[in-house]
Amino acid sequence: MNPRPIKLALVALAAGLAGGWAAAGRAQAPLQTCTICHAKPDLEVVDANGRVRSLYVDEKVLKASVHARKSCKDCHFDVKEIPHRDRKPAKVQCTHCHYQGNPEGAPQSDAYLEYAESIHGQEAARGNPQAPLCQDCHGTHDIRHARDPEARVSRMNVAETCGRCHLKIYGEYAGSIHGVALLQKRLPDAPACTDCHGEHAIRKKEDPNSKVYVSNIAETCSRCHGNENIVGKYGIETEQVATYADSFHGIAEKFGAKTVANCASCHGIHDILPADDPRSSVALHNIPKTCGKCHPGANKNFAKGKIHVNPDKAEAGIIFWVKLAFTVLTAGTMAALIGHILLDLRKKLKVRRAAKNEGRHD
Amino acid sequence: MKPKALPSSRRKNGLVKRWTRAQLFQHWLVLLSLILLGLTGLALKYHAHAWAAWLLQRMGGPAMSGTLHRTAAVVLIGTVVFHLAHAALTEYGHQEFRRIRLRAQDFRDFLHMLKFNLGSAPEPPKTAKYSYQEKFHYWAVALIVLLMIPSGFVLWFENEAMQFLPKWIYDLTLVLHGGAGIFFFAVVVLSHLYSVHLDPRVFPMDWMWLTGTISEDQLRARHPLEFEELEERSGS
Repeated sequence: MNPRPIKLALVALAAGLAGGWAAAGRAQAPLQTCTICHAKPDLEVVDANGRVRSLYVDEKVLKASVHARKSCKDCHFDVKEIPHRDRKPAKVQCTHCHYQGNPEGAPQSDAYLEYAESIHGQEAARGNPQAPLCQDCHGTHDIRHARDPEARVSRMNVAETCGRCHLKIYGEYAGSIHGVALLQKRLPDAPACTDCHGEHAIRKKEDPNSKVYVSNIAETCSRCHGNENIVGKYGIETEQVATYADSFHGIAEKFGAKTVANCASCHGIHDILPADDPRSSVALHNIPKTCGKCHPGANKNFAKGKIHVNPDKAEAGIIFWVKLAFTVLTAGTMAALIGHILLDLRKKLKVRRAAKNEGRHD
Repeated sequence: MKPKALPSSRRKNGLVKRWTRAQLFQHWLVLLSLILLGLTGLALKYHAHAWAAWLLQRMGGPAMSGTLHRTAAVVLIGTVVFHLAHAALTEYGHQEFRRIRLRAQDFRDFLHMLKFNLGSAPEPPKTAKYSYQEKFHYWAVALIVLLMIPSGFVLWFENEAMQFLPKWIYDLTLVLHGGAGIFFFAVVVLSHLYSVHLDPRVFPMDWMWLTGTISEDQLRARHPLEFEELEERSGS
C-alpha cells in the first residue's frame, strides 16, 4: 500500500480543522469535511420562525440516492468556506444541473420548464411560500429515481407525497376505488395523483390545458378506461368510453359544451367508487340524486335501464333487437327498392328504344 | 261515392291541373322541413364521421343544430295538422284522401308491374291519379312521421317524459327515432329520387311540384285512368 495518499489526507484534515480550508475551497470538498459537523445527529438550529430544524445529514441516505456520487458542494456551491457558521447556504437550485442539454450528467429533461408553467411553479414564482419546489416532492438528500419503490415520487408513494399538502383530497382518494387499488391492493395499474393530473405540468382544473379541465376529463379517464390492456385485466369494460362518446353527453362534450356531464360529473372525482358500493354516486339508489344535479325532477326511472347502454350488443335486450330490426328492414327494403328501380328502368329504356326504332321504320 | 274528377276548367292549353295551391304549399313545407330534419338528424347520428362533424359545426354545433331540428319538426307537425284538416274539412281534400287510400288493386298493380317489367305481361297496369308507387310512398312517409313525432317529443322533453318512462324506454325511443330516420332517408328519398327525377319519362325532373300541372301527353302515358276520366268529363 502506498502511504502517500493517507499522509496527504491527514495533512488536509489538519488544515481543515485549523480552519485553513478557504484557499483550497474551490476544489472538490470531500464529504468528510462537511460531515465533521453535519454527521452529528443532534446538529440543530432554531430557524427564523422559531422552529428547531435538524441539520443532520445521514451519509448513507445520500449514498443511496441518485446523487450518490455528488459531493455536498456540487449542490451547495455557495458554500465558500467551511465551517460556514452563520452564513446560511441558499436553497439548492436543482436547475443548476437539471435542464435540457446540461453537461453535468443529469437526465436530459425539460421537466423544469413544465414545472415553471404549472400551477406549482407559477405560485412559487409569485412568491407563495406554500408552493412546492422540487425538493418538496422529490426530497433533498434522499432523492431517488421515480422507478425506485423507495422514492417519494414512486407510484406507491406519490399520493402520500402530494397528500402532505393536499391532505383532504388524499383522504378522499385513499378511500376511493383508485386509492384502495393502489395503496392497499398495490395494483400498479391503478392511478396515482400524477396519472390524472400530470407530474411537473400539473395545472389548475380551470386551465384549458389541464388534463382535468372539464373538456379533457373524458380523454384523461379513457387513457386507462378505454384501454383493454389496462382495465381489461380487472374485468372492467372499456365500452363505457365509446358509449359515452356516442351519447348526447359525449357529443355535446366533443363539440365544446362546458356544462354537459363528463365522467366525473356522475362518478365523482377523487372519491370514485364502483356502482356496487352503496356509497357510490352511481349506485342504483343514488342515480336519481346524481342525475338530478342536472336533470330537474330526476326520479327512480333514471335507474331503470343501463346508463352506458350499447345498442349494438345483445345485452341491451329489446333496444338491440329493435335496432337490428331497423337495420334489416332498411337494408332489405333498400335491396328490394333498388331491384324494383333497376327492373323498371331497364323496361322503360327498352320501351323507349323500341318506340324510337318504330319511328325510324315508319 | 265515386270521387269526382277535376273540373274541366282545370284543363287548359294541353296542361292539366293536378295539384292545388294548398297541395303545392304542403309539398314545399314538407320538402324544407325534411331537408333540415335530415341534415341535422344525420349529422348528429353520424357525428363520429368527419363529414358529419363538419356539417354539425357548420350548423352551429349540436345545440344549435338541435334547435334547427326541433324548429323543422314544428314546421312538419304544422304541415301534418294542415294536411289532416285539409283532408277532413274540404271536399277536394277529402276526395284526394279517398284517391290515395290503399286498395287491394294497388297490390295487384304492383305484381302486374313486376310481371310487365320482367316481360311476362304485355301492358303495364293502368294507373289512376295516384299510382301504387305514389301510394306506397305516401303511406311510408305517413307511417314514419307518425313514429317520428311522438318519439321526437320524448327526446325533446326528456326530463318530463322520464317522470313516467323508465330509462330503457328512452333508449328504445332513441333507437326508434334514429332507425326510422335512417329508413326514411335511405328508402323514401331513393324511391322519390327515382320516381320524380331519374325515371326516363320525367328526367331530369317532374316539374309538377312547382307548377301543379302535368301535360296531357304525360297524363295519358302515366295516369291513363285519370286521363280517361278527364276525357269523359270533358266530353259530357
